[in-house]
Amino acid sequence: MSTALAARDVSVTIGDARILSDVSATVDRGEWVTVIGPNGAGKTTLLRAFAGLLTFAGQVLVEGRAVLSSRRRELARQIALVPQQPQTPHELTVAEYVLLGRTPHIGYFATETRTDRLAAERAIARLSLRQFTNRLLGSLSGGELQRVVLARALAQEAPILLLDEPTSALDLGRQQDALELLDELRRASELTVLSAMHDLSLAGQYADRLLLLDGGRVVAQGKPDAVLSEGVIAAHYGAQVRVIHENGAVFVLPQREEKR
Amino acid sequence: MARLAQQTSSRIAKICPLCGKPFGCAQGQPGCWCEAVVLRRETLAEIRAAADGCICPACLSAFAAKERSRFEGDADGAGENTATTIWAKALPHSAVRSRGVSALWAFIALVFLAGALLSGLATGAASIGPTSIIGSVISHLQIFHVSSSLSSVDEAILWQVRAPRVVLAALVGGMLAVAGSAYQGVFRNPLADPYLLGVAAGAGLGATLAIAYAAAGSDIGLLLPVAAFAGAAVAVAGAYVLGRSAGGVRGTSTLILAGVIVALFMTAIQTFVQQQRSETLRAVYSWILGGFGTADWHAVVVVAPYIAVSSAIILLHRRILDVLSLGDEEAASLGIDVRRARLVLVLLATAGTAAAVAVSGLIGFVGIIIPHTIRLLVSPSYRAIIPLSLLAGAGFLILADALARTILAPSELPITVVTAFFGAPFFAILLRTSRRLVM
Repeated sequence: MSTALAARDVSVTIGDARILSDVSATVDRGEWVTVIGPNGAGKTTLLRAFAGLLTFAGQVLVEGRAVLSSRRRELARQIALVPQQPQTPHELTVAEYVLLGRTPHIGYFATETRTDRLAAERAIARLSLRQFTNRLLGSLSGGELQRVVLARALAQEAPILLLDEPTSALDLGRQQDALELLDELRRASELTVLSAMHDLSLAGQYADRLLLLDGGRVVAQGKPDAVLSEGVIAAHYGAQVRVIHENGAVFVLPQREEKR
Repeated sequence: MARLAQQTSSRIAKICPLCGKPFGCAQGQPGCWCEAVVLRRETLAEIRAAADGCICPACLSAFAAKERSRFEGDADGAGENTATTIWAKALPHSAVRSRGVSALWAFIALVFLAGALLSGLATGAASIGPTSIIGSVISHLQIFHVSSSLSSVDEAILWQVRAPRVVLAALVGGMLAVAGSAYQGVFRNPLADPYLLGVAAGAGLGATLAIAYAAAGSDIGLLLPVAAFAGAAVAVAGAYVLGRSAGGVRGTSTLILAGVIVALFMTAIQTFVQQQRSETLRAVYSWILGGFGTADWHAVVVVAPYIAVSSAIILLHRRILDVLSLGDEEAASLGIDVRRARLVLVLLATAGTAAAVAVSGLIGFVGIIIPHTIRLLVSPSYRAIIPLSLLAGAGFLILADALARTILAPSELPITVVTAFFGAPFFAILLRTSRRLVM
């Protein structure tokens, strides 16, 4: 299997703060890797480095090409980013917003063509948003908005999808729906997915591999059942949990310490 | 399906792009015959790649037959696809588009501009009616061999006095409105106006220096616009350099703050010069209030290239401005070089504004209120705001100038008084009645 994303000794310093230290990681084509870690571990920063949105020391390769020397437009055709809190201007319609995802395929001074409108239409249909096509973003619920943002990323037709906390705004059912949908989409369209997530049980169930960051360093990586252990989580999250293995899935449950 | 059956749709005659035969088509509206043909998504994609529009029943059935033979025996999945294929077979759904400028709004804006042009040309001491103006325009076109009904004096008033003034007002109004929209888009700030980065203070300082220290006997009419333009350019360049070196790369607030600092500094120098040369106060003040009292074709020729180039390129950026409305980070992840786009837009808007200011003085209100009016009335997309602001700003300033000439005739009101006095109540009403958000 060939490598879609690779980071080699990536370090990021913002002001005096060192956010990432010598992070090395790879994501194979078609794989779903989820970055986990406590608050401030550097999950978002790592995703932004892969998207070429900040300067860093070290090297990040997207499909074998260095991110920092790639042109923005070329990069945007390779990688679509769904940020944690996307800007969704209230007065845009769903169609207009999804069409903005076609930007890397539209000439700088041009407007969208039939091809772009068809691609946007496909993305809207894939996420079952057709009845919302003409609705204003301001009139949608959180779960619907999440799907619209995903549709914009799909319309970009990039083979690599970066998702920062894709389910943080959703209730339990919507979280599962969104992740199932993502899994289905990435299998159907052969997408490579790198996501950052907080919910460890969900992260473990949907990702092929987990990457645990703490203090800007990679402290563990591998299959979910190897990374998610009571000892590792206590050490890096400072949390008391029980890890249950059942039917090949891993469940991480917080457990209150007994007080005497 | 009952809902679909109720809606009748009008069909239009089309030629099939694949076989060239005529057929009737309802353009994918509910009730079109093509709804009855259910296809897989892959087949649809194939058709859409092959044809540039809807295709005829025969060709569509051929695709359906081909699909049946290809997927024979593969029953699963077919049911899931049927729900999503009720749309035009080869065209993108008509709802998947950006609204842009509707034909209706384009028409309204053009009529508004044409009406403003006519009333601007008809306003003045000599009474020249709209019909004679149109007659004179046609006679000047040299195509229809119609001779003007106007006397040669009226012809001269119309073409040498009023026309340059009206054209200049249109250019300046359109430019200020477009520059204001661009600034609001680039800085994602509803309060941004064309003078945000110190254009006004810089031009004011330049004009003051020219008026105060011009060598005796030099032509102040020629010197003033050049000095104002240079002052504006220096101010914005200063603000940009300061803003960038102080971290304006990451945020726009630093840049705005730098503009405020530069403007305050230049205003201080201007006030000092005015104190030293108090005899110039009146001339400087009347320049700052703005107006088109000295307009001639020469001024039009001098500023028209700046304004044409600047507003044309900003117009080409209208979709980019929509992308920028998603924020720097997301615009960058969509492939836009945000810093460069912002620099280009700010430079263009500033050059155009400086040229406008140089010939008209500091006209307030247009750059901020016209874009917001379009935003509230038509659409928040820059694809509507930029072109409609250009037309509406031009028409608005022509009308404001006509009023400035009329109210206290034969003396003239400063045009900023007119733009704000009539514009503010109008905008207040709009703000109260519109349900949209300002930004």
